[in-house]
Amino acid sequence: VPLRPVRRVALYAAVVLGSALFVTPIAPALWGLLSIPYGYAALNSIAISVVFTAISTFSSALAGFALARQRVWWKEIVFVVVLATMMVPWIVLLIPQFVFFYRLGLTNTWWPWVLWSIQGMPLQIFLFRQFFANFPRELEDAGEMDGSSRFRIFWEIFLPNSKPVIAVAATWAFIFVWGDFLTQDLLYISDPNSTLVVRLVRDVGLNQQGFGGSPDLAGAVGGLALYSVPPIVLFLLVQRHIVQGIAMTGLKR
Amino acid sequence: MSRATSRRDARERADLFAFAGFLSPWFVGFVVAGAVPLLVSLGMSLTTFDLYGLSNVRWAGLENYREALDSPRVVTALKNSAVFTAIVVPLGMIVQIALAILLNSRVRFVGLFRAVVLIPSVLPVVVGVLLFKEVVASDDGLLTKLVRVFEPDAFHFWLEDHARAMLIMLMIWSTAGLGMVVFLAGLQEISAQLREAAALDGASSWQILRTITIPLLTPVIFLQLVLGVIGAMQVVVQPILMEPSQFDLYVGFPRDDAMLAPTLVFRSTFVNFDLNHGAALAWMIFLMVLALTLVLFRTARYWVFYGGGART
Repeated sequence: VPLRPVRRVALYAAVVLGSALFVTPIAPALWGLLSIPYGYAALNSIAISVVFTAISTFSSALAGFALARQRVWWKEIVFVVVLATMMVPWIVLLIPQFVFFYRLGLTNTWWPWVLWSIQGMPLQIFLFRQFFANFPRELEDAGEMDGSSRFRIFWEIFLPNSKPVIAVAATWAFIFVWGDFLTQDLLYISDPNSTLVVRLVRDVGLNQQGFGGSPDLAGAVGGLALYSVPPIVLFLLVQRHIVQGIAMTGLKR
Repeated sequence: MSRATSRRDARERADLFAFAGFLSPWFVGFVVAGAVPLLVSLGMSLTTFDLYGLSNVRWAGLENYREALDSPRVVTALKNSAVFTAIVVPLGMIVQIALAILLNSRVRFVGLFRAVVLIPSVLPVVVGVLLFKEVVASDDGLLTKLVRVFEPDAFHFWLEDHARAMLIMLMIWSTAGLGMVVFLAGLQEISAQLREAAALDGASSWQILRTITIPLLTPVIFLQLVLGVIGAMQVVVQPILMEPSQFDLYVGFPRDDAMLAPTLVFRSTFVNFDLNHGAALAWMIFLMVLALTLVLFRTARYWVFYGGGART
């Protein structure tokens, strides 16, 4: 039975307050987590990866839906442009972007990753497009008969039936950001906390062996092994969808 | 004006609005983080625009390009990138196809083996390079042990003396898994019946591979060739991280034969803050990738076969 708006708001308020009551003793401890060694670095790493993954996957799903299901004759041209963006070397764009971020004071923040995520990733868009193209027409028609908007058809019919491809696309984005070293080292230019991987490389002395320092190899291997766990676990969780997913989406041009 | 046409018009307009709406995040990102920076970096390569504002911007024409090409370092780096790409892409593809054929066979736990082959591809770049340096290419690493089987007193400084070969090995190792998956998907679209029929007719496995599997895989080979060239021309950090006893992007300087063009762009831009020459070289790389991709697409119709399993 649908609740009336007022009662709904009241209900939500009660639920939020009730759970807040129980989490209050724990919250300061969570905050304290940031002050343990690597706390802030871990927060930065997790934040940029998760924020990038969430926005990029959503944006790619939207674009993939448009390119697969909208009846617009020039969508193929847009698709070619999407794929053509892969040809532009990252470093070409990084030079002016770095100047902007530097002048706008956005170095040492999460904002660059937000900006990069908005356009999605070509591979993600490709995956979503191919996946959505395989949905039967009838699903869409049924939605249209009910008078649903295109967004609603996307949100309530296509997305809920696309969990495997969402998982693969999101994992891909996460591995991409988490595994990256160059941009994190570059954009966390003067933040001692930096991100986890940059901190690890600095703290175990991997980056100053040339100056007579010898790296703490045990520390490096241990720390970096732990750092590798999230991408490997995520990958193992979705891996049975990967081969299947690519085979299913097909290698059609 | 009939009612039907106006309804069709309204519908087309609605479709167009929806299309634009769905694509708008991509479009905004594409303009702000793609098209504009691309043009700005073109501008930087043609002027004296730098980190310190607009006050001293002057038109430089092709000066930056000429100066870049006059530097022996830039020419070497461009050559290295060409050689590196020409080796890594085909060699990597042979490894990927071999792995895919192997892991397409009916063996127990094939899923496990596929996962294992893919793990290097999902490792963070720093981890992959560190492991490769310490386990494979160090003084008493796997390579040395292998060579000592034949030559007991052998002693090699792999990272110093064979920098390019080590870089190529690293790249093949760390990209093989993803390529394998793509080829595996391609193989699974080729019907097994075709190969079984050929085998019944007495074709050897080599003949089947050469006359059935490979021709039907050409669309995938083409895809991987294009993606491989684009990827290989964009390798930035690995040459620096592969330097012996070096993990610092701002200090490490690759050996002459392992200095790739994008790596040099990184150095001149973010270490020497010579943004104009960096942007000029970066644009040269972009134009090279563009030209190579166009050439590959042109040649496609002579050797890519869109007839069989993989549909066009």
